[in-house]
Amino acid sequence: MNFTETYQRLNAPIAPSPRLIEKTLAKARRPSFPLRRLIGIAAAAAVLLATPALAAQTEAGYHLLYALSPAAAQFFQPVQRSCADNGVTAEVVSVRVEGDTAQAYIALRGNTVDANCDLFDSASFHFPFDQTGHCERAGFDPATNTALFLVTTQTMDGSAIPQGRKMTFSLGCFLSGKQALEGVAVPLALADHAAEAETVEGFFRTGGGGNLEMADSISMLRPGEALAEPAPSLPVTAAGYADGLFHVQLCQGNAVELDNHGRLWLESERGQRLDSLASASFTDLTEEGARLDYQEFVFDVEPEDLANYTLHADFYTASARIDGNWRITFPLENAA
Amino acid sequence: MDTESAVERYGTMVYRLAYAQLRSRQDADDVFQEVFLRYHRAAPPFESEEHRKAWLLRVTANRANSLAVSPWRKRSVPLEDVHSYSQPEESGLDAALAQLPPKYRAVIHLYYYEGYDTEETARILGRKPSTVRAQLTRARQALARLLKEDL
Repeated sequence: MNFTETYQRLNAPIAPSPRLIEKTLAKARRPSFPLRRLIGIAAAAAVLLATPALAAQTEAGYHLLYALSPAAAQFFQPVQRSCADNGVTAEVVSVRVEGDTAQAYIALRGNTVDANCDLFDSASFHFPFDQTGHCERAGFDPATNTALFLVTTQTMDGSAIPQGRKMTFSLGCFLSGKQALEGVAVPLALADHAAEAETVEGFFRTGGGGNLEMADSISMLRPGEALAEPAPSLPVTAAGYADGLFHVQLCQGNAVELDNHGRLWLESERGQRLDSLASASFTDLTEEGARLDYQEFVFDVEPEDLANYTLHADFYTASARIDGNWRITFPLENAA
Repeated sequence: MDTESAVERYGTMVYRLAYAQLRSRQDADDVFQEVFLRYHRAAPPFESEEHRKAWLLRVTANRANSLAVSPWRKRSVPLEDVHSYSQPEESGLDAALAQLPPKYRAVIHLYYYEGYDTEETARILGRKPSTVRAQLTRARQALARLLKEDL
C-alpha cells in the first residue's frame, strides 16, 4: 500500500458542507464591535428605563432539557433563573464550567419564540477575558413555545474561568421567523439584461468574496425597482453588464437588522452550475436615514450566452428581530 | 484577506485537519466555526500567505486538541460517521488511524497530507522538532503494526 496516496484518497471526501460554510459566514457577517457597543449602550440605557422582572426556579426550560438530554441535565449544574423582557422570558437552565470553557443551556419562552429562532450572536457570558463562542439550537417545545439553546464560550488565551463566584449571562436580541430557501429558481429572463448597465459610486463597500482582487474592484450597478422578488424582502434590484462581466444585484434591506442574505449562481440548460467569479457587499443610507445593503454577484458569461442560463439562489431570511435586555446573574458552584 | 475568501481558500484544509484529529464531523464542524470566527475577529496581520496558512493550521490543531481533551467530550460518545471507501485498503487505514492518539494524527496529517517537514510541523503545532520526529516515528510504527506492513 502506498501510504501517502491512500491517506490522500481517504481525505478527499472530507470537506465542510455548504451549510456549515454558510452558517459560519453568516455569523462572521454579523456586525461586530462598534455596533455591538451601541447595542450595549442602548441596552444599558434600557436598564434605567425598565427593570426586567426576575424570577427564580422556573421549570419549563429544565423540563425541556431533561426531555431532550437527561445526560446533559445530569452533567450540568442546574441554575433555573430567568428574566423577562419584551414579552419573552429567558432562562439560564443549567451551566457547566470546566477550565477555559463555559457552556449553558438557555431557554427562551414567549409568543415571538419559534422553532428556528436565532440568538443572532448577541448572547454572552460576562468575564474579564477575550472570548470566542457559538450557539446551537438544542430543541423546541411547541406546547410551551420554549426554545432551548446550548451556548458555548471559551477564553481565547486559555485562561481558566474562575468558579465559586457569580456569573452573568446576557442576551440583547434574537431573530424569529427564520427560513432557508435553497435551490430557488429566480424568475428573471437573463437575456433581457444583456446590455451595459449604469454603475453608481458612493456606496460603502462592506466586504466581498470569491476572487479577492476582483471582489475589491467590482462596480456596483445603480439599484432600481425590483426586477424579481424570489424571497420575502430580498428583491433583485439590477442586472446587466459592467466591466465586461454580468452583474446581478440583490437588495438585502437592512442587513444588520434581520441578516437577510442570499447566494446566487447560474445554471445552464443542461443543469451545469456556473458560480459567480466574485461578490461584493455595499451599504448606504436612504434619504430617510434607513440603512440599505446590497450584494452584487458577477459572472463570466457572454451576453449572447445569457439565454442559455437561468438564475438560481439560496436565500436565508428572518421575519422579525426581537430586542430586549435579558440579564441573569447566578452563582457558580465549584466543580467537584 | 476577508473571512469569506479565507474560508473559500483554506476551509477544506482546516476542516480536514480538524477531522483528522477528532474523527467526528460534528466536532470538525465546531472547530471549523471557531477557527474562522476567531480569524474574523482576531486574526493578526500576516507577513505572507504561508504565515496565514500556518496560523490557521495552528489554531485548528489547538482547538481540536482542546476539544479532544475536554472532560465533556470524554463523557460523551460521538456518533459514528459513515464512510464509503473507493479502495479496500482505505477502510483498514481508516480503522488504524482511529486507534492513534489525536496528537499523532495531527502530525501524520501535516506530514503526509499537507506536505510539511518535521521542522515546519513542529512550528505549526508548537512542539519541539525532536518531539514531532518521535511522534511521527511512533505513529508510523503503530500504523505498521495495525496494518501489518512497513510504511
